[in-house]
Amino acid sequence: MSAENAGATLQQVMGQLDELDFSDVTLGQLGDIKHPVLKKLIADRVRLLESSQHETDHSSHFSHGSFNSFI
Amino acid sequence: MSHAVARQAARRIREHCQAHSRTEIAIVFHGGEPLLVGRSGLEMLTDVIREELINHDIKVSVGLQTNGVLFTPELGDVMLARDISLAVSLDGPPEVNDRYRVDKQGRPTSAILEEKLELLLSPQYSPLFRGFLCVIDLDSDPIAVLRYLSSYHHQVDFLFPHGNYERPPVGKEHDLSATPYADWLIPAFDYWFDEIRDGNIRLFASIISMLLGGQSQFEGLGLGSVDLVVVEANGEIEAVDTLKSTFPGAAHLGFDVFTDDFDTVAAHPAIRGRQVGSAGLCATCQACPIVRICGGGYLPHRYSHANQFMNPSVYCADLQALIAHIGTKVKREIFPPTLAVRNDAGRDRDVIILPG
Repeated sequence: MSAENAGATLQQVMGQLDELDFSDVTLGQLGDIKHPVLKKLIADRVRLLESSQHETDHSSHFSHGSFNSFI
Repeated sequence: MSHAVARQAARRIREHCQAHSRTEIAIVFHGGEPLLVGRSGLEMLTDVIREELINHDIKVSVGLQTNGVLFTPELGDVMLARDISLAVSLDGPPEVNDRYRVDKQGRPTSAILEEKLELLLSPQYSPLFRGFLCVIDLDSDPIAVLRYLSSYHHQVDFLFPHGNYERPPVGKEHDLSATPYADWLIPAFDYWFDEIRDGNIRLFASIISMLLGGQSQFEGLGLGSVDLVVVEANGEIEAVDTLKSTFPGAAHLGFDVFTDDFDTVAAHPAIRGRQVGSAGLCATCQACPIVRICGGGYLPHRYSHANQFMNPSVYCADLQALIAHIGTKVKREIFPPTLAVRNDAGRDRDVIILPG
């Protein structure tokens, strides 16, 4: 795929995917999605959304000014 | 790493965790080859971690990245007892891996590595194993590589070889708009997505996850805050060591565990620049529609003498092509030809998804 074609395809794909709103999706609705990898990743995404709705402090998800991994 | 350096590093980490109310962290032993420390070295390091961190209510995930050839039952027993996980650097089946991964005498390592993997994946030691790091070799068959790595049923990380604008990667020396790495990765993705349909290929899973609005599992993708720091064996604190592929001293920050705390290190511009999302990227990347997914690409791959790290990745064209391909496949899978969704008025409308 040329970079030019990739850019055009990308704009189309991104526009369409940006329309997808996961705030309305529940775990129960995932039964409609057959692909096992997607099913798992979407379930992870929905769980993250659900958990974030119950959290007021999101500091654990971010690490501005600090470190989490030491190599 | 000496006992004194390890002890001081662990104390600095504890101090940092306590200051930021962190109760869980990761420590990864890299090299060189970290198994060269042997049994006594692993025991010393994990003793220090237990005494300075775990005994102070900090949960520590300890991992190790190795070429695997020094793995023995003795080391495996220490790692099991001390809860150290392990990932192996392996570029594919023997005919691929042996092109670059050779011992000091230039001899191939795959034969011994396959023996070690058999041991490592035995019921006794398999709890240690986390997966593979695989550097892409354009001369290899991507499907054969993925089929081989997947046969071990563990996580696979595909890595782009290090390259930048001064030293373009193999296959892009004369044309940075060429997409040889996307051309390699796309068949691998299709094989995983269409045939294997299981497991975690983190590069691919991260792109899908971010297309769906989630987060990256990968340091080299996405706009998430990069929260890792490197402590060298002599106690110097550095930025990510892959920066050494750009120019001499690129990872150097001028800090040391004996004189500096990690809060001071975190305030360094080179660290802060990786914790500010798209604001730390060049104007081209900031304006790009996929920046939230590619994140501008991996930091060392953005380097040029003229602009330092304020460039798109030298793999920009490959990332665009790969992300476009994955997005198209995901779209086809998620959206059936017609999908009823609720509009703002609460009424159903049909959304027709165009062929990708």
